[in-house]
Amino acid sequence: MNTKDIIDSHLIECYVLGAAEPKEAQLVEKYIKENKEVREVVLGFQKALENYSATYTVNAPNSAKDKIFDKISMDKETEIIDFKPASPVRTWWVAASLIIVSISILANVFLGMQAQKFKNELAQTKLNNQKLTFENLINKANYRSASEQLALIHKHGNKTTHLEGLTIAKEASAMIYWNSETKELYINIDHLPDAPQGKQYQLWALKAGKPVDAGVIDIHAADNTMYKMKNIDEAEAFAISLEKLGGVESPTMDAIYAMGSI
Amino acid sequence: MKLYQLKITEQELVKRLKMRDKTAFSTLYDSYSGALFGIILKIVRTDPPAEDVLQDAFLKIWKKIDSYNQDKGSIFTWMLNVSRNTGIDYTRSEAYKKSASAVDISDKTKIVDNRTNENYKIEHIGVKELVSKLKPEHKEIIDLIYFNGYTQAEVAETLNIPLGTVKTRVKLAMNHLREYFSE
Repeated sequence: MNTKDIIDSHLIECYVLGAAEPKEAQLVEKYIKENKEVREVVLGFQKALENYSATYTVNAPNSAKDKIFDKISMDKETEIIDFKPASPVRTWWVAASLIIVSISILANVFLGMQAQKFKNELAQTKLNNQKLTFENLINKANYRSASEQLALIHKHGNKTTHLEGLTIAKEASAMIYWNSETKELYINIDHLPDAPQGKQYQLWALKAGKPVDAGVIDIHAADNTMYKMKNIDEAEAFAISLEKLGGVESPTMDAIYAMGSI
Repeated sequence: MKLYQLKITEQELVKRLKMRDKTAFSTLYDSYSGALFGIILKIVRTDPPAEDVLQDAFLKIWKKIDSYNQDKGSIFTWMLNVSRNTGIDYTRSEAYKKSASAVDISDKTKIVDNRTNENYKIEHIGVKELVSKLKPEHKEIIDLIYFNGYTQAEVAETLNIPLGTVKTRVKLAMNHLREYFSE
């Protein structure tokens, strides 16, 4: 197997998910050690799994930390303090010991402060880092959707139509992007009243006054996102009606909320 | 510059952990316990026993730190693997099978979503939307393997799809995940 083979296979994906057979895992680990390209791919997947896992973060119960540290202390062999039988000592020896003890206390205080500083700095960095990571990922994802939407709008053969609210819902408003060449249809809801329980909006394409089902609108709020609907071959106008959940075969005429022609 | 510093700090942290430095272990706990508790909760579904599993995982991390090899990945990835394995092993134990949480949720494909949990502390509305960018069938296959410890054959059986399809989907799902979740 060469580098390309292993990257093209699904072995690396399997390995990072923990689903590789022992032999496969050994092979991947051999590559990680020897091949920079494979190593980069593995690290990339691991990073993605780390970030994905971190979306599940829930603060651990307060009691957990103490219990863990108690167990660790019990686990460690207890340090044995060796008491030697008292022997005659000279005064200068006592004085020297006192000085050594004082220095030792000072050093401990200093080291303790350093350790605390190290601890605070690291916890803070990690915390900020996770937050920044998510902000960064969200921005990237938003940018991506925006670019994809822009690309859709500018596609050759694209037709944009504004659906205006009718008497029953004057404030209703939506944009339709229909491509007469690719037949693809997208909707971007600007505003629609909340659908009552058990009801759902449905989009229709109209050709020579005949309605064709363009799919139910499965969203709860205007979120400035283009939703893909059913492909439509021909259309002169589009309309939105309020129907029962799952949609119907032909629109309820007195429940048409918005409409617009191309 | 900042990233470089962080890398040094992680190396420093690992060095201290290998010397059995409890301050370093405390820092490690403060930095990662939330993320690890979150995935353990996702695996074992309820607390208890999630807290006990978290304790076991951290004890293993403390005892086995010498087996952590930085060449194979970050300390977080290693800890995720230790925690996942501890959680998955627990769900296969007799104690868990007898417990209510296993009986209540007989359908293993239904996976608890911690993000609806009130304790969820990442104050980002966008995170949920970010996860929703993943196709449901991709998220499902990652969750079954990574969090429930399914083999690919078990996934094929559970989802009633051919093993070949599972393999293709694993590859697609991971590449999709990387698109959205790597910096």
